Amino acid sequence: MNKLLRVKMGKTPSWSVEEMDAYAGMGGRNLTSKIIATEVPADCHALGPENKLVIAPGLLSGSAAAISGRLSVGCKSPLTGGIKESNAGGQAAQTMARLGYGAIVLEGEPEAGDLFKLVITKDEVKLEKADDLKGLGNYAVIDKLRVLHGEKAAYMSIGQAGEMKMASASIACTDMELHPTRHCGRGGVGAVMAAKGLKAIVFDDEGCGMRQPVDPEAFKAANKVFTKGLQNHSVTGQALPAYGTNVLANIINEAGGYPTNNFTTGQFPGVGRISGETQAELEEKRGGKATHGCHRGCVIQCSGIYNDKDGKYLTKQPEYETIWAHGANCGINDLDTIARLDRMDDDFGLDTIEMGATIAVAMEAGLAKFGDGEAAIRMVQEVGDGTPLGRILGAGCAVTAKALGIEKAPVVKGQAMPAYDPRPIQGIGVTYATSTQGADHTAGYAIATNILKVGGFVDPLKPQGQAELSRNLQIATAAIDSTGMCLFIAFAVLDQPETFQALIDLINAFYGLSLTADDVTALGKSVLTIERDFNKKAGFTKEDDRLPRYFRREKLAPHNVVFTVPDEELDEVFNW
Amino acid sequence: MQKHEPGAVPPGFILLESKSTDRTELLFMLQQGVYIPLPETPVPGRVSVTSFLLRVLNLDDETFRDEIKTMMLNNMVVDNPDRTDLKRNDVLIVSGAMPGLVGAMLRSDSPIKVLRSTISGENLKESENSSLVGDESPAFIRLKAFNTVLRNHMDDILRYGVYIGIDDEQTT
Ligand code: SF4
Repeated sequence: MNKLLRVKMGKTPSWSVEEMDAYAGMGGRNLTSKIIATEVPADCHALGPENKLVIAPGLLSGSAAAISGRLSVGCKSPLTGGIKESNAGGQAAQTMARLGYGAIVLEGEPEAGDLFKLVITKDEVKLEKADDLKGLGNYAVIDKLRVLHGEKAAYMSIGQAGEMKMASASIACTDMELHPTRHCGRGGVGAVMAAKGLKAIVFDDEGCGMRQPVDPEAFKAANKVFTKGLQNHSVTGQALPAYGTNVLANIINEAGGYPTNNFTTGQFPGVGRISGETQAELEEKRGGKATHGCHRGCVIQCSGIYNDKDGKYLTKQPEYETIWAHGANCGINDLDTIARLDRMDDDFGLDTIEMGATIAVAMEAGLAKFGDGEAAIRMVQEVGDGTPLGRILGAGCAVTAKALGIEKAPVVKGQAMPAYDPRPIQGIGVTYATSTQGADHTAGYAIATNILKVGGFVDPLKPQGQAELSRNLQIATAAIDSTGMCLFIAFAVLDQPETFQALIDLINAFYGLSLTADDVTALGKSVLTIERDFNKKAGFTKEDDRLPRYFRREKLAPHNVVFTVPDEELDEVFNW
Repeated sequence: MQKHEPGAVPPGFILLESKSTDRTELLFMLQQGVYIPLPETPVPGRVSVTSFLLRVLNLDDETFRDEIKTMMLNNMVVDNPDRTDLKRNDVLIVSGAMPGLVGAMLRSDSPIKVLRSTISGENLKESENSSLVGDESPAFIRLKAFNTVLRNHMDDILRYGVYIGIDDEQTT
């Protein structure tokens, strides 16, 4: 991964392959955020020529390291106006890394109306006109591309939402079956790809081998311990493979933190109909799969295949966030309706969290009744068709609320909150408020606080400030996001010190380094510092690190609580 | 506490036997919650979450600590199941370890439990966690099983038969 591919759009688009130079030794989120902060003026328009789209596999992607195939995409976000790193599984990271590219940087602006595809093979890079792909959804794009470039390539693409430069547009990555189901969903990255005139990227790694470690023996040994740790742990070895992330639905509902009907109550009576346990049973009954990986080399396999009533493939197993966003948050308790919405989102290229939150706001505004699944389907169709209403909905939850005269838009920095209400679960509210990314549940996902010793050891017997904990979690997450490892490794890493050590050993053996836990902490801190600085230059102040005021005013049943973490404590999160 | 005689179905309940019920329906019912009579105990009126679950899930103490990572009582997280007593009509949730940051917060005695202190059961007053003495009606706990507990212990939970409320049956 010592090559950087720079694609310059303009009157005559061109590309060049460069050394990684100042960016050598970086990967994933660390690399995307570093390039954006260095090369993009923070006050530029996200859809203008000064913005760039950076695509980077993680440090261990393309190697034999288990579960190392996550891809980071970075830019200035058209949704939040701040820096963005959006992360997806699928096959793209592994193939791009094997082709030897540490990053692809898309820059400039095409001639109006031009649309291209970028084809990368072992021996060449081609930038070709893609007029035949114009206006197509992701499924149709891949159907065309696989005929030309084969079944073994990996593909990234945007759908109609991206082409219309909607702020909730995603970038799709194909999975092992060549379905465009793994999305860099958050922050409107698909709109930025469209602004660069790129409809699709083809990674054909034929003739490229696996990336080889500096110390193969140590790497093999560390990988064995790491894999065993993941398989032995009850979350990564049992709960996630059996039920996927949607296993959370029931418990978050019991905690009273399952946002329902646009965050108006914390419990959804229909949860048993859409829970992970029910979903897995249904998938297996219909000949789908409840256990499946989003890319080769995943040993957790939290995903699955969702078939329709006739046993035909409909979509991948929709995740917890999707099922909540299109389900409970819109009052919909039918898995088949939710799966159809997931398929539509994947095809048009839309962030499922943003779309679910947006439809819920539209329902609150009276455009449909909560629970009306057919109305939700019609609204997403309008987005894909680009009708006037669809254009507003596609601009996201905050814009839709403004257009429809609704106060209650559950957003931070313009990005919709995910599936945990911050009133009963206040700690997640601290992360929503202060994340550099806008409301984001994955920003503080890595729960390896004690083992990483980020910001000091957390004594379970002593109450600790929520700000300090949220900071530590965000640091650990930023570090893991830079490795290319799926964040779900964090559970095994939290509970099993030998699994965390194996992760560091993997990086050390691969690169011939001798990193310690402190270095990992320093990496996470440096990523967050870069991102905070960019946001500051883009005009963000501490007033942007806040939840919408109604979360402090409107009580949430069943606990009847409001968000009470003081502003001063929120301001302490990044005070290191 | 009145002793509950097997076969004597209290008014408002239906006895559910696994033989006659479809697996999908059973899975759904166990997530919605089934009613289980509270057992007689050596200390009258005190049944801890731990002792109740050891019996219902057919577990020894060590396996219980290994498998059961998440418990909630009436929407509050149980951090100390040995010292949390049940009272009639309580709703008890039992689950394996949950994924996600919030899943980790909700674990019993999680090192990051401060992040969900609003819903920590240890903040309940003793009086709210009162005994079972002094009421002659049958005492039931509504048990909901999720995640790996649902998969691994469905038969354990059902082995003596469980009850569902008539209203619940109508919603299934
Ligand atoms: S655990 Fe799930 S999200 Fe993570 S890499 Fe595997 S299938 Fe993809």
